[in-house]
Amino acid sequence: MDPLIEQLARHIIQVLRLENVVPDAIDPVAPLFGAGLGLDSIDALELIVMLEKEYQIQITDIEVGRKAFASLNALAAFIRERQRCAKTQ
Amino acid sequence: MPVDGAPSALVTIRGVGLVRPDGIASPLSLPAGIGAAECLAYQCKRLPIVECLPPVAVRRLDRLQLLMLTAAGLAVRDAGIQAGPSVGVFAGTALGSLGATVEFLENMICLDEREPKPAKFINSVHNAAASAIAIQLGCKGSNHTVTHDCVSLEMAFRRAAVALEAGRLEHTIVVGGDELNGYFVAATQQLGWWRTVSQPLSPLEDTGIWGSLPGEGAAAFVLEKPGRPTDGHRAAVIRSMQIGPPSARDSPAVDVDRQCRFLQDVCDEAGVSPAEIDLMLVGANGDELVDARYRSVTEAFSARVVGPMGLGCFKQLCGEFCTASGIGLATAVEMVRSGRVPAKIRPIVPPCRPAISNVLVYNIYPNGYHSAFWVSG
Amino acid sequence: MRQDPIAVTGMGVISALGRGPDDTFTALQAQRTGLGPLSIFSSARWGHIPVGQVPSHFHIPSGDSRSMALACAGARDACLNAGLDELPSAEREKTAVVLGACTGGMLESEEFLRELLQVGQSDIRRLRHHTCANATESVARRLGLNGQRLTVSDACASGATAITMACEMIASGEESVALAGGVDTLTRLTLNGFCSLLVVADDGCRPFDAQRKGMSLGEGAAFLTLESRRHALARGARIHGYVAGWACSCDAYHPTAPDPSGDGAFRAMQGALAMAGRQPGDVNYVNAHGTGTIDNDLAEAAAIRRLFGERVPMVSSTKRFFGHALAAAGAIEAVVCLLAMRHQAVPANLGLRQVDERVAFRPVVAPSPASVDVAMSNSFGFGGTNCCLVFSRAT
Repeated sequence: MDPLIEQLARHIIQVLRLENVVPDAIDPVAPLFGAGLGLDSIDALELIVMLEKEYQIQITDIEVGRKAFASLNALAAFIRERQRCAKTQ
Repeated sequence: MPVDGAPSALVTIRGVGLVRPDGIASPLSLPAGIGAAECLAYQCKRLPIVECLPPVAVRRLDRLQLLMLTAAGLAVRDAGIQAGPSVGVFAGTALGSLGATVEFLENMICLDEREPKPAKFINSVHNAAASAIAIQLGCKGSNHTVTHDCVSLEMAFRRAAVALEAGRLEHTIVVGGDELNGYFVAATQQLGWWRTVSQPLSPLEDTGIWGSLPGEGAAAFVLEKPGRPTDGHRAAVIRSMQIGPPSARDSPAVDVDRQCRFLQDVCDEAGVSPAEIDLMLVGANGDELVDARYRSVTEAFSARVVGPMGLGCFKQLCGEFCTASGIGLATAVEMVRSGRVPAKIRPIVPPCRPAISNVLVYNIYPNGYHSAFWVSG
Repeated sequence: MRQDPIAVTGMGVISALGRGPDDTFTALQAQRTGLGPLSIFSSARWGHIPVGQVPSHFHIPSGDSRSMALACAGARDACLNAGLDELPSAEREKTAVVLGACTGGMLESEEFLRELLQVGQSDIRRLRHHTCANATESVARRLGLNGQRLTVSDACASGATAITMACEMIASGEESVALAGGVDTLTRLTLNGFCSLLVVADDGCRPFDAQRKGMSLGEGAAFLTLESRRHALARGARIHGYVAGWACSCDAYHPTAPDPSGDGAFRAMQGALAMAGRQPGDVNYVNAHGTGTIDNDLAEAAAIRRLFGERVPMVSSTKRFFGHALAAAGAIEAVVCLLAMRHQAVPANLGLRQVDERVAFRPVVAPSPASVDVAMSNSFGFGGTNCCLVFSRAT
């Protein structure tokens, strides 16, 4: 497993208090919200705080958050893109 | 006043749900900088969760929401009703979700507003429990949370009864609760509310002990208008209930005559003689001063009644907290439903009749408010 | 069954627009926003957000919490406005006080907590005004009103639900007169809390606007003096208007987001109209809850469209004038509806540049003279609490 994906899965489980869920059980391409894990808009806000704390990435627009959290893969890509932008500035 | 001297009925209680500690006090850590480091308290150790709720639904709920949601779920199951637009929720809490509020604020202060906790903010609003009940149980009628200190449960009950009488709703879930919180206990410890001796509560039997023990819990009741067919679901009838305001002349000593008149009014509104009361269940809490008030009123009121009136207490079951009257009311409902006084009550004065049909639940509060419910089987 | 209308015989309002119904109306007509800089406390992260703060010349008596001071002042104004001070003491025995509040003394309590955590100790007497009921009891005690006292915390619907509860008390005969309203102050809790939900606009709220970014926080207090029409007429009271109908519902959908279908809101609006014995076509003006969040405005618009069909009356949200004063909002907006009926003028939906195309009506964009006989006010809160009040004009 991609180390960033695994790390993100652990953060999601811990921050959102998903008991009885292991990182391997989260399909990297499956939607995080709605079906599957059944996360909702409040979970998205908690994950936005997690991004600020763990990756120093700020999201101020919930719509940006919705796209970033589409799946684990989408989230990893979003983080890598933001980190790349930060390095080039 | 009832017509023709017949007993009246304010509401029917179809179902009851109760969540309370196990009656054994244990140490509660208190925040630094206020007073003592810890205090004995009656704590709900295992927060039971209504069985049918999926974990993903309850994982984010905080302590008070879990207490009140569980009580409400148990009451709805007991009542055998279907939720929907004609079921309303009337919650009463004095302090709301203090734990979630404190957690949000402490985080905000310590981290200079960085890395906030949005879920804690959402849970900090006073109607978070009423909201959780509506969402999880599907109640789409009116949803209200009364936050009037110690009489919050009683006031929620009153508003629910009025809504039923006016035909706005078919059923109401009335739920009262408060959670233990170190800040509240530490602050009230400074006011001398809590005992420093390691002795469990025996209200009206404790002598020379200053202070009670803090507790927590939630009690829920499904109400409907009296006279409806209940298809076997009928726990009790509330014949009357009243809330007495503080006297304009504030005094630390209780005005015994005024309290006796209050209790007589409750009996008159119920349309039943006080001689029919099998047991008074009172909110004495083991503190010398508080219990003295209850002793003086119950002795004076009992003396006016022909025959001895049973007397019992309920705060040894749950500790002292603002909306503990709900625990008393739920206990009274169970008494009239079963027809007997459970062993856990250990009456101070045993009832003189073998079967329990009428219980008067009576509470006096530090701010001068007082309340009474006449509960009949 | 049609409800006898409840007479409104007094009004009091304190908000970012100032104090009193007249000053409030003047500001509404002048389209002067009350949003501005936050100054009652500092916030490193959010201090730049415009808020609806009560003007600094409003005096907080020494020893009072901000919430108590606002509530007592607003309630006193409503009492004087209604001539309650001239009532015999026996009448005051039957005057209830019903208050909606969300934050209570939180502004002072959070200062206690900050000092405790940063300095290591603080005086617990700073917590003495913490509870929501503190303001209710203060109002009743200071104004000598000895009927029932009740405090409700139904989130952003609190002020409106307090009014419905007072109306129920009068309708049931429990009380002759009731003072009902709401109060809330700006607090660090609510500023940080709502900002953490990403629902606060950094350029001020723009209800129903296509580019809206969220709500603006506000504070204030507003009260109505309510009594039965018979009681008001018997004592020769001036009647500002009537509460003709009211209804509450719950979405039972989500802790914060409204049901996007607007069903709960629709049921509250429909129920209030039914109680008033009115049809949708009778409504001349709707004061929308209209916070300026994406979700609220869409859900509310869906409910309005469903209720009124093609014939939506004049609609405006006044939240950009006051900010969202939480528990006070429903009561402030009740005053706005009564002013609209008194002056036969509808306030603008301030801040609107281009209507969101998903909103199937066009809110009023300028203060407009209008025949307003029936006005509707919506208040929706966290937890899906919905409340609708229908007002009718005094003739």
